[in-house]
Amino acid sequence: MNHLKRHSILFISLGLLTLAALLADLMFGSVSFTWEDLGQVLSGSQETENLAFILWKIRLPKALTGILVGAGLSVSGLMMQTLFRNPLAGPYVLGISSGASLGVAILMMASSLFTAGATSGILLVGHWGMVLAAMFGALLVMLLVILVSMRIADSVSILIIGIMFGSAAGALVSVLQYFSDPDSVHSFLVWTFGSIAGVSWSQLGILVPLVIAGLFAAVVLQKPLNAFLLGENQARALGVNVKRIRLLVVILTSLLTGALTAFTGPIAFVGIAVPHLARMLFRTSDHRLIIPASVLIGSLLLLVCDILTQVPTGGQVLPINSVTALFGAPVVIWVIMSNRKTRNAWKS
Amino acid sequence: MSWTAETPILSTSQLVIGYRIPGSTPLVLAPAMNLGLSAGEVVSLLGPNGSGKSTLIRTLAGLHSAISGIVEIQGQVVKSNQVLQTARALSLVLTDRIEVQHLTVRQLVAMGRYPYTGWLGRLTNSDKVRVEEAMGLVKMTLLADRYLHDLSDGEQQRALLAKALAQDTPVIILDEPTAHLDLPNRISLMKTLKNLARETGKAILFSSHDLDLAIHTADRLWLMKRGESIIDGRADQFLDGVVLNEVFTSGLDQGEKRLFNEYLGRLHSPQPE
Repeated sequence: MNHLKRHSILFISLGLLTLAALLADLMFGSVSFTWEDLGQVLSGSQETENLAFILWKIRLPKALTGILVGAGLSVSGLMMQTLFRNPLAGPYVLGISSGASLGVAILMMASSLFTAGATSGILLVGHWGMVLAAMFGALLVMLLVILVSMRIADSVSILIIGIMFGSAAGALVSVLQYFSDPDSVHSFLVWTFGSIAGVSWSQLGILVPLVIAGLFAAVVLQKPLNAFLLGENQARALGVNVKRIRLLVVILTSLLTGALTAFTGPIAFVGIAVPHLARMLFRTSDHRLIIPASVLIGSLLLLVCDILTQVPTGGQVLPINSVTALFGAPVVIWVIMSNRKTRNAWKS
Repeated sequence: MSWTAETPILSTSQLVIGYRIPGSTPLVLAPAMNLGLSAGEVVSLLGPNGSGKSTLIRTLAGLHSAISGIVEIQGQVVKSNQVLQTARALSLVLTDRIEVQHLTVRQLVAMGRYPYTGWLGRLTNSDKVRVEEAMGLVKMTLLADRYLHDLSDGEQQRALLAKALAQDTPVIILDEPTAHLDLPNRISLMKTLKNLARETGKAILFSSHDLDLAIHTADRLWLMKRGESIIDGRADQFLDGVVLNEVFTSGLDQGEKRLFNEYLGRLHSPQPE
């Protein structure tokens, strides 16, 4: 029962930390709130109309997007690591974010053809246009990967083919950039920095149910995912319908990653790093614990990273992708250095 | 159901194993086989590399489709799309090393209950009793809370055997269980298999390259040679080495054949009990 106690303490402290980070993320920013401000806004006072606007229309959707991204990408990464039995797999290994990038790149470069060059493409197409382009690109790669995984028997081939799709999409993006004017290249680069700001409530109306449904599906799949830990043959010998579960996991990850990337741009490292953190903290690989743990740690991480983006004062905000990567890279290095089994896993 | 206590638990009829090649004639590894495994019996599957041992095991376990013919366990046909039904009839111990962090022996053995638990995978009290029993049978109780990656190869193999026992199936098949083990661990594993078959009445099939150990452990041998029918007989009938010589030395030169016969010669010497 030692484990049970340890896990309960971990879950409670992670939950409290996430709540604290959520509160801090709502209060800090270019305009920081005092406790009094917060109290007035919450009581609906007339004097704080501007603050109320900032809180309800900017900060809260941003924080909510952060939680969705953290939870969704972490659980996607976890499922990919289990499915491919590869500790360095993440939500992007199937090439889905590259597909999204390709969609956005095509949209931006193409729209710049119709503008006088003074305005960049992004102003013309708007946020929804980019979201749709990214979704379309992600969907295209996703359908290709799903088509492949229905025909191909082993997971490693699916992994390699996913990476190949990603490289091909990335190369197309480079070609497009090479032949485009600097303005559209710039606005494309800004998109690749990733941003959890600017997701509106109406867009959250799509994202929230989608991510919740995805997380729920992951929880439903935890039993076969646990069997997958032993390898595909062992899983099948235990009675897992390997092909069906693999297809479900690929579809689920593609949907989660594709939708999140479409709204926020690619956000690096969260999906790879968080499952490792969860396994190390909880000292188990059991998905019944690691799925909720990844949801909490991922949300916490994204909220903390978002607070860190506010560090430079004077209206400047760091791109969230740089902050997650600056945090994520040392974590991945630490995982590899501290874990002899990780290196052994490459041999099998 | 035509199954009775006298008929084998697992039987094959006109089973042809091999690989289907699209647009070509299939690659047949062995012609039609009619084999049987009975309760309480240990059978060893021997043959040179590439003779089809693993393919036969994978076909019996429903992981690989037969070219033709059927495998039946207790009168039920094994189908590759009925994995859950097969998992309740046959458990499999494979050579793949398990690379999972933070997995204890007890958690691994509990996975053997997979075919019986609900979607949450929660263990009932009777499941837990089975898990403890399984660990007791292979003397792993003391190591139950140790992490799998901290165990020696011999202990890992016993843990995997415990998982197969927890799966509570009338048939257990092991693919080269002694492959990574040193001699004392091989001997102890063989003894464990034999005791298990006697005590629990399970039918146990294992493939091996240890001809001497296999002959002295198994009740029967199945000898495979690429493309030829399987030779099925009581283990003591092979002690003279004539058949083994035929099966194993076809690709060897004179010097190598002599070495092989010297090795076989040891099989005649009485085994200390």
